[in-house]
Amino acid sequence: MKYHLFGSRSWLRVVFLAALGLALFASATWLLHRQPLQLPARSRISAAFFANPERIRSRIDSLDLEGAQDLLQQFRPESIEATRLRARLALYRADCDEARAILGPDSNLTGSARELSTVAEACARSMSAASVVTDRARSLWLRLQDDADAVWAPLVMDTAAQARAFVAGKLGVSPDTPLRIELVMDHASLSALTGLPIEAAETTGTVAVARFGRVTLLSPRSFKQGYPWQDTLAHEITHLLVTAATSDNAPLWLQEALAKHLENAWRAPRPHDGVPDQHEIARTAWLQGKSVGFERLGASIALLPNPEAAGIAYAEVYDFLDVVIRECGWNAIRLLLREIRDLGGERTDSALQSVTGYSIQEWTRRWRHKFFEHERAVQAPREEMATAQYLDTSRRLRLAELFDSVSRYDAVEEVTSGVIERTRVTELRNLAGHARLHRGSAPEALGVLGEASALNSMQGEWLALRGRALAELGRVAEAKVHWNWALAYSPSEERVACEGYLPSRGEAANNPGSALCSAATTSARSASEPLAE
Amino acid sequence: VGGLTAVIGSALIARTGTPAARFAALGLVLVVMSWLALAHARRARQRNRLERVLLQIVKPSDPVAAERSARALRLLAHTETDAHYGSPELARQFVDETLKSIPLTAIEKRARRFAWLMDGLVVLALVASFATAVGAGRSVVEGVDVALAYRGRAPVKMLWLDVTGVSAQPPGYSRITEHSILFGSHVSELVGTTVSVRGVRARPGVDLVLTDGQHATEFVETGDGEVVAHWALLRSVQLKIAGRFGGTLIEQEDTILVDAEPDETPEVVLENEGQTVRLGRVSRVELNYHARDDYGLRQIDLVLRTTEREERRTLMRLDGQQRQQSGAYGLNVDDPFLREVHLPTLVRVEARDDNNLIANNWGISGWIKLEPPTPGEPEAERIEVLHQVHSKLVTWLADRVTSSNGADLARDREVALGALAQSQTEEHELWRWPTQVGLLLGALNEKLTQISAGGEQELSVLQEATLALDSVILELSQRDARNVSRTLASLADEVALGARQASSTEFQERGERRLDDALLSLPRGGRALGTLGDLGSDLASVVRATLVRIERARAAHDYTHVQLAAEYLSARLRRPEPSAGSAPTGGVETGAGRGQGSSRQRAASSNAAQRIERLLMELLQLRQEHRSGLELLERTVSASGPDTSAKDAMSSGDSEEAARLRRAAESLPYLGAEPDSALSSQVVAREQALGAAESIQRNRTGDALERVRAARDAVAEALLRSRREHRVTEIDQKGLRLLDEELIRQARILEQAVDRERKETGRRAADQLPEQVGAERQLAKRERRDDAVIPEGLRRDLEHAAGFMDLASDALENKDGTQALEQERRAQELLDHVDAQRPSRTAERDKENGQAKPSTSSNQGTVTPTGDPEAAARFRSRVQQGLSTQTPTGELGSAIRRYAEGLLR
Repeated sequence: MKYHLFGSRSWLRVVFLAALGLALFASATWLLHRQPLQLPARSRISAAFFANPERIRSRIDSLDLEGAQDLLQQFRPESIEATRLRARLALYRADCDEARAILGPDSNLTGSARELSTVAEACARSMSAASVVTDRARSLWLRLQDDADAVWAPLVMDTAAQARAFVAGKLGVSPDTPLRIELVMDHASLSALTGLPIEAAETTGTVAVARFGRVTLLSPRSFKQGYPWQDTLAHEITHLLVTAATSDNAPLWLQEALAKHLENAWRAPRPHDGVPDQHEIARTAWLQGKSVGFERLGASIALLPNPEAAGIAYAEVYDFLDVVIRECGWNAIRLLLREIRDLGGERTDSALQSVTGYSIQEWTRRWRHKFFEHERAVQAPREEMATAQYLDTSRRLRLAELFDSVSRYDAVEEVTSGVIERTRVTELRNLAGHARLHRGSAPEALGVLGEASALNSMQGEWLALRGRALAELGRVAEAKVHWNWALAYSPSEERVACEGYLPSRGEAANNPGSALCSAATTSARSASEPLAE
Repeated sequence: VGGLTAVIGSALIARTGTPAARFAALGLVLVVMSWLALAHARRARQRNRLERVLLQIVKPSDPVAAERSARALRLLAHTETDAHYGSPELARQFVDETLKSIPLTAIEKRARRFAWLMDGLVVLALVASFATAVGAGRSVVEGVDVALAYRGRAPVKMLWLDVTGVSAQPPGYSRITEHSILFGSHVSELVGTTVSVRGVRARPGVDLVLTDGQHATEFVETGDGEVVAHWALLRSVQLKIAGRFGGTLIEQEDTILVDAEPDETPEVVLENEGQTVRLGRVSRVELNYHARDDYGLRQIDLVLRTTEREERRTLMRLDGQQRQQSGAYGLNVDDPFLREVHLPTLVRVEARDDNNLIANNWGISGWIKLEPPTPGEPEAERIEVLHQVHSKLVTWLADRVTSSNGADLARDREVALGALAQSQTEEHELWRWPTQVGLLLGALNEKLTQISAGGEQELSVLQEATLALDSVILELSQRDARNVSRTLASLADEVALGARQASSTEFQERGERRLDDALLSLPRGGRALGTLGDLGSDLASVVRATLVRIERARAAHDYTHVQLAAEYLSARLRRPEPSAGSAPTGGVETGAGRGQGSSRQRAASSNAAQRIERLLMELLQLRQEHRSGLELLERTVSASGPDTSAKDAMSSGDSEEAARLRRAAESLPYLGAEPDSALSSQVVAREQALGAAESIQRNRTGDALERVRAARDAVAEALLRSRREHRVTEIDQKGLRLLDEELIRQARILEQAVDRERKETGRRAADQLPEQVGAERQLAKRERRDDAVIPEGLRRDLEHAAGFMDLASDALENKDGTQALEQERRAQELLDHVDAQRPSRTAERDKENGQAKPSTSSNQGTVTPTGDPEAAARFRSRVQQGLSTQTPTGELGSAIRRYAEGLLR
């Protein structure tokens, strides 16, 4: 008997095959969108089929760590890939000990596993027996390398929660995304936890990195005058949320541009916001031929050769995205992120074109066209002051510091008197202001401290002293604002924590009982008498 | 009788002493006795039974009667149970009748015959037993004794040995001679003593042993018919003599009780044992010890122990007879063992005697704990002194800036200068000033003393001085912080190692101890580090924070995390960079970008430290170049360095001169001679002259001149000796005189050539001198600034050195090499004087390694320094050149030369 596939009853066969295909497709779709843990035991085999490495990695990159864990449980536990993924997941959970244990000795590993192992090993060492602060209600987790930083952990938590809520809203991601923050003491630890070469971190002055699903932040204690850690934290949180929104497909320029845009947008404006002008930096760099360009950003801005190049790179990506946002709005950015997540990072140009109608090249032309809209002279890089004057100021500053250290405030006033009106050196104004405050002359202190626009850099100490001067003049509300701003720079510094006073040197603070002030005073006293048991 | 026989037989079997024999003997006795007892009981029981009597007695004699009587008895039995058989009375009567009818004669006859037989047997057994008892009675007794032994010991003691003497030979180390002791007494002897028991056997054929109940040694025959046993005394024993029968001993009654006196290990007392010495506070630890032993000391050792290793140094080896010994040992703090450890070291003295019989005969003293200086302590002290001086200057400057009254300023000045002077003169145990700091303090003292009070110059100089000292403090503290940090890293390694050990079961205790020690020093070092400027403070904060984590993990017995944290700390401290790097700003991943934040590192506001450092480098270079020039000049002036141009000048006609000299020399006879004779001197003169001719031929002017002089000496010696020895015939006096004349002529020519060479070399050296003169002048001129960084004395020395070099240059132009050399040496002395303020290279290296140690020697003396290899080499070089220039002559010339060369070696 001759068999005919499409014979007299071929329509019946076609219908049967179509129904079978449809059923299989429906089953696959249903399984794909179902949580593996909810699967009955007999469906585990099919779940394991879908738990492929790419899918697990994507879950990890999207910070869906529980989902990744569920998938991993279905994956072949004996495979090398499973080991690698489990270690990666442990690192994302900040469980460096577990990652280290999973990967074992370096010598047995190759490629990415070796890199993971190095990071896990270094992380386990750096954060061994470190204390952890958690806020389950807000899904926040903070690990402190230095217990002394615990006193301002609540401040970190509040900042993280506020920044996350704002950035998540802007990017259209869940505001409940768990955040893991590591507060480290030095560049060595920052490098250890993130895999960033320490030379690169030191060269470019990197203070924070978002990698392995965590924000690793250098403690402001590491700097003499602190640094704007709140904005830095918001910057890094933006990186994490962009990563989550795009399954880590966003290109570096977009990552950095969004982070730069949102780093201080989550809070009310403060002095020195917008300083220096990013548009001006980008324009000047372009006209002077110092432009870095998107294609030369490399793997990270922290890996650029020097801080100047890093600053230009930031300004360029910020200014570029600023043009896009001005013309298309934040909705377009949210759509762009979704497109990138679905299309992949290599098709960012297509995504941008589909969302905004222009490709990157066209946007770049439009952006650079803005450089010439307002014709201005190309500014030479601003010198802080002439070399001779700088030297003179440097000597005066040092002498003033020395007089201040022996509480000779009259000599401080004397040595700063000739230059204080015209100097932009914040430290010099701080010393002069403190000398006058010590003399009880708050108006004079306010005068020598000057306005924020007269400073070359913003410092927590300056804000605290200005707050103290305002408080002594009865302008308490303004003073409190200044003190809060000061905490955004160096919360561990005694003068900042104690609202402009130095209890360790006998000054009576307004808030001696506060935990921050008390800890800072104790720290200052132990620093001045380090040999005491 | 049977029983007796069995016992005797069994005793003889049991005497062999083996367990099998003893069991067999006992079994035999048991079997025989049992059999006898059973037979007797059976007989007693069956005595009244008619059936047995009929069967055993009647039947063998009269079977018919026995059968008949048996039937009667059966009938009687039936009638008693069954009435059909008849009346029992009739049956009993029938039985009586039947029994009465048995004939007794045959029965009696048979019984008599059996009785005779049995009596014979008994008599035979008695006779045999008696004979055995007479012949081997003692053996039977011994056998019985052995058979009854319990746990290898027989119950009845016997006499085995008639003891004729017991002696004791103490061990050799005690040096006590052999002596007798009384058997049966209670004595004390040293462990290791050999006790010998000697005597005559009481009964031959028995193996005798000397035993303490556990061990035994056999008696051996001696040549004089006695037996002897030697017992090595290792513990207190009760020695007995015993006869050995297999595994059983029959002991002798009397014993000797010997108490073993153990040899006491030497008693060692270390002065101040149990105390702790902080190495940072002393340069040397004096260890005074006294060792004592009851018989004699053999060796005394010093033992140094850390948690990781132990080192043993022999302090003294003795002859083993000296019973006590005192001594002292100075342990330098820079001892290689101590220099490598960062944790406390334990030191004790151990002594042993000559007793090799025991495994450990070392007597030990108590420990002295040597605590290494807390890392960073010397540096912290040093910086503190500088800070104190600096704060005085700051106060003075503050008063001057605010125009305080004159009295206050005068007081400030006095206080500041006093602090400065004190800082320079004060003797410090742990450290000394680095060169640049020493120079700066000297310069500050000089300048500030000179400035007039109240003038404008006072303000500028004071300001400059304050900032200069500030910059030096900054520089020094930063450098010290790096060194101390690396030292602390080693301590962190110790913590990590301790944690690793503590986490293992085997080494837990050692690991805990190591952790305790390291965790005692590390916080102290961290606190000291905190005083060393911004970098020190920064690194100290890392130490403090990590220690908190380490303690937390340790409290939870989580040694893995202790180890990990310590490894982190070690790695961090080995890279002593600021926590926030050296970048001045937080440029990346920050909210506000550039211009925000600043590293904890502070830039110096004065370049004083760099200026001093550069000056010192230039001085060092200048000094080395000048020394090289001086040595060149010395070589050329002393004609030890031939010159090619001089060779060219000599090349014409030198062959002829060499041939003349050779001819003159070869005219002398070449004969073998006794040493120190006229003939030997003649031979020497001949050989030296030939050598000189060879040197002339090869244009070795200096060598030729030296040999010509030696040849002349030999000629003079030969002539002199020939006159003394009256051996005129063997000496060619004429030839000698001719040779002497030729030598005089050659010496004149050679001296002229050497003089020409010297002048030529001087001219070349004069060409080089102006460069060095210029360098010194330039350096002195450049540092002639009106600031307080370079001491005036140093500048003056430089200018004077330049002046001396000018004079040397002039002298060379005038072809006066000696004068030039003199001036050069004076210039070098001045440069050395400047350089003498620098620490020696070793001290500098120690300092760079963070181990500032007190200076132990000075290099400023004129005597050859022992610690400076360069200076020693220079000294040797100069003496050798002197020896080559001025050859020692006379009879003791060669001896002087050998002595000098030996001295130089």
